[in-house]
Amino acid sequence: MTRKYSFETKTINGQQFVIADGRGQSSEPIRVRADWIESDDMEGKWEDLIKQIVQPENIDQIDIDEGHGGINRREAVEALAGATADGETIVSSEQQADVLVEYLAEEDIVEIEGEELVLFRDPDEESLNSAALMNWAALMSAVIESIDEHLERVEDAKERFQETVDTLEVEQQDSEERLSKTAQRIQNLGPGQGVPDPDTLSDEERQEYTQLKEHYLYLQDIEKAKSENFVENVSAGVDQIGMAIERLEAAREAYDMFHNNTRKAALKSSVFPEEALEFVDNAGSLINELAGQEESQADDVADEDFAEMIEENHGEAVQEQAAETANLAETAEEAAGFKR
Amino acid sequence: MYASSFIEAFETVESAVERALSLDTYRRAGRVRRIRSEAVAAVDDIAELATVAVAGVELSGYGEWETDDTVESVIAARIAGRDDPDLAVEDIDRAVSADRLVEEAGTVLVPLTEGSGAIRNWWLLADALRDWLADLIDDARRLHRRASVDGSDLVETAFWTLLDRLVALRELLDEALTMGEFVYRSTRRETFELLTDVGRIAGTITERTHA
Repeated sequence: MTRKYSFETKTINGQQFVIADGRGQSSEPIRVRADWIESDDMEGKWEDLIKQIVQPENIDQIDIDEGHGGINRREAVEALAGATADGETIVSSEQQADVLVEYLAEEDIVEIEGEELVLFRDPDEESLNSAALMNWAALMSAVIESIDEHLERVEDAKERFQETVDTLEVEQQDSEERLSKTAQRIQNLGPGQGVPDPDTLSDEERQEYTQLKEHYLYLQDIEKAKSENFVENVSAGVDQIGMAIERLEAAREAYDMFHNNTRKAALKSSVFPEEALEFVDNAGSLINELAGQEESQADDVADEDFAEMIEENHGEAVQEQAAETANLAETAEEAAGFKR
Repeated sequence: MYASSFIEAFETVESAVERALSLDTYRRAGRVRRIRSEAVAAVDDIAELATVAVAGVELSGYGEWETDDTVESVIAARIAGRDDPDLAVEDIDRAVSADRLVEEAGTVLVPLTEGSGAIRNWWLLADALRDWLADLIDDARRLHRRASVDGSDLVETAFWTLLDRLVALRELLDEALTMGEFVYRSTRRETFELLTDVGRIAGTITERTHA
């Protein structure tokens, strides 16, 4: 690694600072607080720094391949500059953030390879120290947070769909009531219960009978036009989204367990938890998926194209959505470890 | 099918209801029945048109389009009984180019069944007709109240069925608009992608648990 700075630690007024001198540069030394890193307890100190770099907003900048990866140094610097942890500003300028990043490397918490800040190393390939374990825990935490954000959006969508189902169900009840009232009027024309024989009615009653019969048939025709199955299809879609949410939540719990165990292992300087190794194997693709969700293409589609797309999709829209959510429910259940 | 088919049928219903409201008495059953038959026949025509239109639009095209204002102006002018929508030629031309309007023998028509523009037109017309129906239902309700007091059972039934038909028609339009809104929301790219992506994430997690 090519170092940009040489470091010296100093205690000033009882507080430890890192003084960084730019190598071969004539600039002023840069001072940052050392207690973010040089602390007996990693909790709430450099753990906060790593979390700041590996936050959900930056997840699309993280690149992991086969358990090895990190983030561009520049992105890390931008994430740290001006950021706060527990109400305290970590560093106020990008220059200070750059010093802090390199100091993290100096302290073997991260590595710097060219322009990359390497945060994650494969626990299958080497025995990881506490710092490396904590970096993985920070990533798991960010992934959980990111999944929570997506779950919230799906829940909002479900709520909107449910409103539609409720409206359609009320309208359906009104239609049935209308048919029932017309049938009752027809029955009332006769002397007893049931539909009267028109031949037994007076002229005027027979005319009424004819009007009501035509009306009943008219109402039935209207019903046919209402695509009766639509309510059922929409309801099924909403139910499936609900199930998918429940199962994704269960999967999220599994991640939570991986995170807690990894973090505990970091604090106790023990080995990387066996059950969380699968996270490492699949972290790269998972992050790609999460990052992909942030990019909405809604604004890039012209209205005319959008209308055409709707036209093409409409017939299968509800069914496709039902299939998506069914698949989601199935895979999420497996993810939670309930089904293997 | 054009918007004018609906509008003419609505005008027939409106005219018949107005004539029925202007009658001094409902005791002359023959006259009442003729007016009622005329109104009911027009309502049946509207229902038939609506049935075809609802099936034809496939419940899509709910989102706003650039030429909506022009089409709305043409519809509003027709409903108000004006042939001239009082629009700039460029606006009409733009709507014609976008397949939202058709010009035939110097008349501007609003198509309802051909092309994606027509699909969007249906939603605008359905919205306008729903407002018009609300007024017609109010008048039909007054007719029925008078018939309940002043007319025979036959006359009361005649106006009750007219009123009920109009209400059922309004519900058809309400439901069609609700469905349209649902389909618009559910197929909106952002929502659709969200669900698809969440599915992929779950799939990725699964791969992990199977690894």
